[in-house]
Amino acid sequence: MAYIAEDWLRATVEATSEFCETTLAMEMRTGVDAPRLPDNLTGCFVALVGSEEALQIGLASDPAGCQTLARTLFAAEEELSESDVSDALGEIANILAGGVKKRMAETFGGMSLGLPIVMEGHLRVTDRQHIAQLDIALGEVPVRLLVVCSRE
Amino acid sequence: MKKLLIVDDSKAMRMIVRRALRQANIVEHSVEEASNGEDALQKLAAGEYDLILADWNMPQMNGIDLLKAVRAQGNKIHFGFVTSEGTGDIRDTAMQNGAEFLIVKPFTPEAIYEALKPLGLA
Repeated sequence: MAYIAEDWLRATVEATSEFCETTLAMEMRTGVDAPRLPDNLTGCFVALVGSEEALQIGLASDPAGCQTLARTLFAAEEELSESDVSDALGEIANILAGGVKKRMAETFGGMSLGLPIVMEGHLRVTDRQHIAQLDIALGEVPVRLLVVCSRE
Repeated sequence: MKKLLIVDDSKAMRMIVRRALRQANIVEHSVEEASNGEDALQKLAAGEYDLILADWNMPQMNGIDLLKAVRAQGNKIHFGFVTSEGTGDIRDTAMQNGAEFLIVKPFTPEAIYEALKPLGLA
């Protein structure tokens, strides 16, 4: 069955909502209330690979937003190091990708999670790839959810 | 006092598990940390623990290989996974190799409590 990036993005949004409720204790907002983000972002991706599909699940924000998300995850008041921020972003992306895998397991069994990679800048894709993205807010933090998959 | 070992390559996740234990009012145990399976085996060789809470995906030695190594040593320590890998086949593999529970991230303190209670650790 062919799934498009928007289907995977929908599962990512659901996984993010669950993560916000259970772990971050932050409200997730979508749509018109969500703040707009620049293209130059810091983010983290985790690969989700199976026999039929291969994609990247990620989230990104501006540096201040990443710092806030990491401090929320660590329950820290002090400024966190770049390493700790990357660790936190990686864990968030890992949990979101796991949530997507769980939601899509009936259709795409046997998918594997890759290791998180942290990126800075803007995302470039080839003609054979497609990005689905949604800007949301986690509390007051602007976040872009991203799914990169092959073009059908 | 019981001894718990949290095994996860993410410092953030180790802290989240510690926080969840506190929120579940499981505060009477000593909690130590390891960053991967090899690190955990070294700690197990140096001291006795009552429970391992391990991630599944980790560099150097992953969680399932850690479980197999522990059981191959004849160690009957309580062992559970805290992982993003929540599908049925992963759960089956964990249980077949001697895990007693698998908690899927994201999780609540209640999930930790419910997993540890039957083991007499909550």
